[in-house]
Amino acid sequence: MARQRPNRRDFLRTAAVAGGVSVFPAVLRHRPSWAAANTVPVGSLLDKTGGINIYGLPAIAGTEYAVAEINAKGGLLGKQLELIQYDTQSDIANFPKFAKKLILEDQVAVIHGGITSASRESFRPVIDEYKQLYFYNIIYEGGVCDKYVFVTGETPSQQMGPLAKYALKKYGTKAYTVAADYNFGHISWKWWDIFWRNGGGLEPVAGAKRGQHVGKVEFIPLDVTDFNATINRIQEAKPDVLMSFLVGGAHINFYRQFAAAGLKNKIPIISTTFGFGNEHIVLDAKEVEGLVACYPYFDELDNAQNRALKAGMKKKMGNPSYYIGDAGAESYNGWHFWAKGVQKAGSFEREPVTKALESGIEWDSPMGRVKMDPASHHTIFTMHLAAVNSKRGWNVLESFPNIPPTETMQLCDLIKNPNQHTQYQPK
Amino acid sequence: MSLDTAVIMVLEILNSITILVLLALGLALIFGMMRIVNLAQGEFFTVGAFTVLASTRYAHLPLWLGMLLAPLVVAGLGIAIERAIIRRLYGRPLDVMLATWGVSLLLIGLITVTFGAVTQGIPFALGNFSVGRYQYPEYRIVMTTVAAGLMLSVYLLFRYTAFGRRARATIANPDMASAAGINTPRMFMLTFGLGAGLAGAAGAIMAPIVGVVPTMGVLYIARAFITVVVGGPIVLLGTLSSASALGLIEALISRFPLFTIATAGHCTPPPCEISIGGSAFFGQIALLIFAILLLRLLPQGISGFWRQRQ
Repeated sequence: MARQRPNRRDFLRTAAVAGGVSVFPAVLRHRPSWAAANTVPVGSLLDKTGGINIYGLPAIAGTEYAVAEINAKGGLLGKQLELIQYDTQSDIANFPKFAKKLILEDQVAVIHGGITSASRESFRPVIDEYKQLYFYNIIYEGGVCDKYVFVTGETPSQQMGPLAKYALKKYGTKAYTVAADYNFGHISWKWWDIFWRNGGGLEPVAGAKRGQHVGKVEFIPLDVTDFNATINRIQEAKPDVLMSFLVGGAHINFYRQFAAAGLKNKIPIISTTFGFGNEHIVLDAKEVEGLVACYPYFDELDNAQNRALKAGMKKKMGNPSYYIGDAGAESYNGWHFWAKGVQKAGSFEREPVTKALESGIEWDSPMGRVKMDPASHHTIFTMHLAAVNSKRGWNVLESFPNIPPTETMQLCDLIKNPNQHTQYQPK
Repeated sequence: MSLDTAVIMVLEILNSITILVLLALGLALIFGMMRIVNLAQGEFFTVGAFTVLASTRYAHLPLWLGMLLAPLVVAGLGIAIERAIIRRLYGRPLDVMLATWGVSLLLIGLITVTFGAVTQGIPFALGNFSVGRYQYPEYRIVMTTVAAGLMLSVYLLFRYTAFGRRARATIANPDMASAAGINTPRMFMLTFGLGAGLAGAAGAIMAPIVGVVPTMGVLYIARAFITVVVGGPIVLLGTLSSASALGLIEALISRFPLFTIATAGHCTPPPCEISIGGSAFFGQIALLIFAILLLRLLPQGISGFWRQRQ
């Protein structure tokens, strides 16, 4: 086989041309005029393939359904939405790349998406650089305080408060924690430590039992599939309850291996992540029955909006037992929050839409009443504590109306101080 | 250390070794013996797992039957790929790499189209036994037994049967073997098929404890290559010894914290420190570092070192 060595001059020439091309669109950037056209491009970045697609696929379904629903009702301001989606393939490098493409080439009015916090933080600088309106529609570790970003996912206060109180009352005070090894898992652990040791609040809760930790928190890389040693360490520590911040397709195996070791009925599991990727459908009911999670949405919620959404999604997916899940419902909500902002503003431009959303938009979603908190750009939900039942669904145990994302709200005021593009973490 | 902890430690080490042996055994034939850098080996593993999924979920066969079927299906696939592609590329290692990488992408694509890109699970009997304070799944013991059985059968096959002698002759010196009347293309084909079948068996055995997803092969292929490379030229015993060494290191470092490093910043609860060792993350790192060190010190792999000393 004839082989050609690349010579340095060729290389430099190619590099120069490639570099020039990649800078060029930025030079040409102009403000798109959405007013003139009949359709408005809107963008979505979600993982359709790879290990994170257990969340990506339901989120894509929710996204497509919401956009189709908006279009079927005549679109926004008389224009149809043109949904442009890129599969980010569970690869972080794709997020900044496709975000730039959506902003510069497709000139979208809004970007929705991002799943792992690592992916979000990879392209939030792009969002800030181009002043792009962006919606992050998934449960995360809280603290993002960014004028251009709206969050319709739940944060630690909303999940961990109810979970900690429930576990302290029901199971005991000794907790062991396993967490995914990236920013989400690490920051979640810091918040969880605060909530657990305070008995369910950011400040010590008067009269409440205080939690304590047994064993060391264990951070597990996303590609680990064998949890043998971890499971044995949990048995050594003998916790009253196990807190799981595990994430992604590979980590689903943890629950199966935990059950295979016969621990399911000995050590109860609570989690802020189990279920929003529909893990309870992948696993067998006997492997995870009884696991407790806390989300604003479960398919089992009974209200008119949710009945309509469930019927519509089952039809769209061609699957009479399709489970929407928290990731699907939050994507759906994110698009509708944005649509309400656009309608109120009478414009697709970022500044009027932001102003409209900061006026405190609230509506009856399939989750029940949801409200956008103006100062923090985060969402106030009714949270539901639920346990996995024997039919691969959830039994709602208890509901908590109007739970705010306190940890973010107490630090972040984008009305008073709009020039913030940061993420707060617990000290 | 109490007795039950010691027993659990031994079981953990056995488990790490088992997984490495299962992953590397097929590759030991294809890469170790035949010197084919088969980048589609991970997908042979995946196809094995999906065979179990398809036969239990869609054909409603019992789990054990699906597991028996998997190596046959994958061996058939391996033979077809050898006939169609690899046979034309013997002696062209870089081209083989490129071609098998293409096969790997193709297989991932085909499986995704057929089964969807979602993670699926294969439920299995949840038996477990007690070791003092611990409970341990029986299935892990089954895995170790099967891995040992496969290792032993492959050894006996190559050591004591006519097929094994012919295959070894073919790989050692194809021209001489051919002159002696051995049908060498057939031997290459069968050895490749066997290597593929073993990867299929590994995928089938591990399918119940890991999630089944089209891209799962990618998670395992690096470990398989590392194990075989560290094993060196005496393929089977080399692979066994390198799996044992790497598995031991991985299990030990996954379990025991070695030391802690203080870090900056405010921590709850204080003090800020990172514990080195004592988690799956450091287990993986230790495996990789140990492999690098071994190859630096014993460039011919573990079994190459034995050979030098003889």
